[in-house]
Amino acid sequence: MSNTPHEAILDVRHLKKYFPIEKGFLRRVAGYVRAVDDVSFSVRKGQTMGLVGESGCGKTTTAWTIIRLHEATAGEVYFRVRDGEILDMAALEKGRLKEIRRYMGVVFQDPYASLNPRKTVLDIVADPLLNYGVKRGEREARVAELLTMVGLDPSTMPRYPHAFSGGQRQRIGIARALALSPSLLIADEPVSALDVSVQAQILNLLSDLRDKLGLSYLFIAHDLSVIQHICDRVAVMYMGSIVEEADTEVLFSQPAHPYTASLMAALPVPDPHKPWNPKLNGEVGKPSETGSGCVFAHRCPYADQICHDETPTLETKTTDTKDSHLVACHFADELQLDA
Amino acid sequence: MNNRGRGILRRLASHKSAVVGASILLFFAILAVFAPLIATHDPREADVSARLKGWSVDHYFGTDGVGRDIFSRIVYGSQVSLKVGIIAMTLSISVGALLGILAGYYGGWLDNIIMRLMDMMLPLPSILLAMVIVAILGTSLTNAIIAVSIVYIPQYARILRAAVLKIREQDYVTAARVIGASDFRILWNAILPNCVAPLIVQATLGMGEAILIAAGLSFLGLGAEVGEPEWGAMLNENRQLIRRAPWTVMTPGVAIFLTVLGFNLLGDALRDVLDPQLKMQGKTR
Repeated sequence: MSNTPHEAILDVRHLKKYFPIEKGFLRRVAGYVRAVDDVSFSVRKGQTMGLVGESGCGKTTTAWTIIRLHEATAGEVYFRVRDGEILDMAALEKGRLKEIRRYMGVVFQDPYASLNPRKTVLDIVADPLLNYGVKRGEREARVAELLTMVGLDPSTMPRYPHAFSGGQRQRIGIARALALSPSLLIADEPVSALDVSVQAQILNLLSDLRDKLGLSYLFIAHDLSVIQHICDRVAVMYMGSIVEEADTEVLFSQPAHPYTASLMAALPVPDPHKPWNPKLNGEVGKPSETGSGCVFAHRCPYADQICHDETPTLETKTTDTKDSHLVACHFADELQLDA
Repeated sequence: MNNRGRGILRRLASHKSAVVGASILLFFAILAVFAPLIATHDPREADVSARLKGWSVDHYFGTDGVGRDIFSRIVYGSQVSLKVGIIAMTLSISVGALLGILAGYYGGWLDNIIMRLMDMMLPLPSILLAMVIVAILGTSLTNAIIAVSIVYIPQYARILRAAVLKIREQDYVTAARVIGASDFRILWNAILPNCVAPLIVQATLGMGEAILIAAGLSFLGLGAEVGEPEWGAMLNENRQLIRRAPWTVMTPGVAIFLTVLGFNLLGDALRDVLDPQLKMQGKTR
């Protein structure tokens, strides 16, 4: 991997999360859902790493496993704490989780579900401060500061979430995530529940905050245009695996994996005369039935015998001048795909 | 909360059965609180010269077989009934809610043990279960209250468990966990306030039932001691007189009926107002 550890704030290595499928009265384990299957990537300091893929591909599970809302089946998650110490989140004792979690903020997908309807904005944003023992007097000042930072009027503090619009609620959610001055922000589809016009505002707010506060983002989305707008680097996930990873510009101009290319072809073009023909047929396979071979083989228009027999590894594309373009495809160097 | 609370009060005030139910309960609450001022006679004092008198200015609701003033006994009886209702519900809500929350939040084997125990209690008719418990503990009003509380524990456990299961999966609970909240804080701050609505409804309805069961136990001689002004016990004492002096039985019967009706009306109204899914029906009523 080209990213040397010292510039990565989060380094995920061979992360796996399998959910057992239990059957019958005795809860016999009949198989596993491989929600996250050997995923490696890193988030560089001050940058935004995008994780993109269709629903059910394991994006959110990856994030949840990183912050230990799920226990990883295998793998390491190296996180650089403020003072430079690097800790493996996946192996950390439960008791120490709290001390690390203050450095990781999380923004949730649905701003209607992520704010407790029975709490005022002050209580919601001050909640993390309370958990880490910030005194009452200081809390209110900090909340006012945070609200201003995300573009809300501090006088809205005593109101309840129902008095706010979706975009405003998401701003409250962002303020809460920033309350403890984290160094990494994990944003799980932070704009997918919002109107398109509001999406842009929130994305710009996130970009501004990143530059102003020196944050790093792990940004999860299914919308390629959102990803293109905010991310420096993108990993494309399909059925629990990363199939391609590259800098945003490279990925969007020279996609090397057939899946990435078909995702881009599926983007609607705002021109009624231009034909729109998404290239993909068939359904996403069941994540419980992944055997040998490439995860994408049964839908891939270029698939050959080798694709069904051998699982391709995520490797640097050799014909590419950029050495940081990683593709998991047997024919990565031969295929000519257009964006 | 203030705004919300005011909105709920306003909706209750325009809800007919809420107003009727609350008025009935308020009436009995006033009787209970000001019993010494309202009662015209000592509820326990027998006046043999004035046995089985009908309704009169001297004895509003007449007198019973040993000449005790029924009006005064009803007034003091409301103290007992409200006491039974409130204490029994407080006890069973505390225990039931705790069990339900633990079962719902932690799940797994703890959930299984707690809920299977509750399942064992649920199918038994409440009065039968209460009788068994009193038979074990011994006859007294306190034990009747304890019995009633135990009988209602499974209901609250089930309600809270269901509510917690639903709320546990909400993003704001996950959010609380991510920002370092302890289990206790998550339960107390994020989950419990959102479970209150179904609990209030069930508690109001349950209070009426508790009073009914406690009166039933007293009627069967398993609750209040003989001679105490308790509505159920009064029914029991005077049941042979139902032909000769029907008022001796009717009056406590009507008192029980009205109290239970009051709780049920208010409980139904609260359900309409607090449960968003039923809100529209509540308004059209």
